[in-house]
Amino acid sequence: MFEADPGLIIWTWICFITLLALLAKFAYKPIVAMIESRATSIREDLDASEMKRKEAEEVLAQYKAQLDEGRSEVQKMIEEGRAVGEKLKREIMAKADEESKALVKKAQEEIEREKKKALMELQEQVAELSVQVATKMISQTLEPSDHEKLIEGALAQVKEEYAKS
Amino acid sequence: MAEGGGAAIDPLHHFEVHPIIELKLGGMDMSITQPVLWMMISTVVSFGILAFVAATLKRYPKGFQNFVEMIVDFLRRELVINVIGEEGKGWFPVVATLFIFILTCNLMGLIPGSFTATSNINVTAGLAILVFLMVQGAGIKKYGFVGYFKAFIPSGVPSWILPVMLPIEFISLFAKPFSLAVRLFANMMAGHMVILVFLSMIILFKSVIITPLPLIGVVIMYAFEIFVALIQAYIFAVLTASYLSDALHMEH
Repeated sequence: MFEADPGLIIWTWICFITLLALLAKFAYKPIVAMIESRATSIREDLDASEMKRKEAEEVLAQYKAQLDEGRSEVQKMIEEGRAVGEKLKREIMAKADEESKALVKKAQEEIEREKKKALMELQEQVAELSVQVATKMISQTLEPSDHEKLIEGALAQVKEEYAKS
Repeated sequence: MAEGGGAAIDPLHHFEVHPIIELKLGGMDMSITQPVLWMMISTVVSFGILAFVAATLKRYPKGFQNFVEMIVDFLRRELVINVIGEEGKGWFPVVATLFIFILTCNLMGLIPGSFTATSNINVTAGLAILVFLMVQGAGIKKYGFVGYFKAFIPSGVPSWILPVMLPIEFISLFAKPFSLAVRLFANMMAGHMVILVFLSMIILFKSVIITPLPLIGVVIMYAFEIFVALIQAYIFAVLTASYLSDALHMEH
């Protein structure tokens, strides 16, 4: 086993080189090609998914911006509505106030007028009664008792009239 | 493993080479001996397995294809591209075939009754000479004949040291293939020798009480031999890649 054996060395070369040639053509080439193509496709898939992710992020950002815009618009609309309502409220209140004041004023005027009218009527009646009293006094004898009776009668009449009015 | 009663006592007998088919070509003894036969079997088996996997490759690998792809990818990336660099890609088939051929020969030798081709110094020397020639060839191809051998003398070295340095460089040049050949041969032979010695002990002592002890030894050594078969094939391939890398990066 230690002795040199050139034949065995040559057989070793024949076996090894045969195996090398066969494996290189029929095994390594297809296997390495498969590994490489798989690696390439995995890389491409990763790149593609990365691109998709970026795209999705962009779309999301767009939607978010739109949503924000819509939200602020709604906020603006609400504020506008509130302002309009406030204005309307103030107007209505001012109007109501004005109307009630006018009504009160009118009622006061009415009362004043009625009072004046009543006073005037009273004056008229007092004058008429005075005339009647005077007439009665004149038509009766001027006796003191009669006199008294007359005055008292007239006064009672006046009282009565006054109470009536 | 033992080939007859007499052989059991002399473990070295197992490693003797006998011609199976006598063959003479131009005065050279080209007889087919046991190592030749088992190298041929290893060639056929390893090619058969790899060619079958390569022929039935699937895009979505599973099982054995996965295993083979893993080994091929490992050899290509860790052994060739990492050690030699991108320019070493062309050497991948050589390094990978060395690994696969040696591994198959080593494992084949574990079949009882077989012969471990790599336990013969001529086989390992043949492979080492091939590696040596390829390494020199790679260096010469890259740097040119003069340029390659000039690189053995580092620039800036004083001339008086050259008589010392050149022989050292020269020896180290040949020590590399020599160590490759001897390492593989010695490892493979020693492992089998230990197994054979244990087995011989059984026959030697002819005792039922002692028999289990060497038997346990044989089982442990067998398991260890599988590991050694793998490791030695790997070492041979790694060193080949590293020698190629040295020859292709003479600037350092």
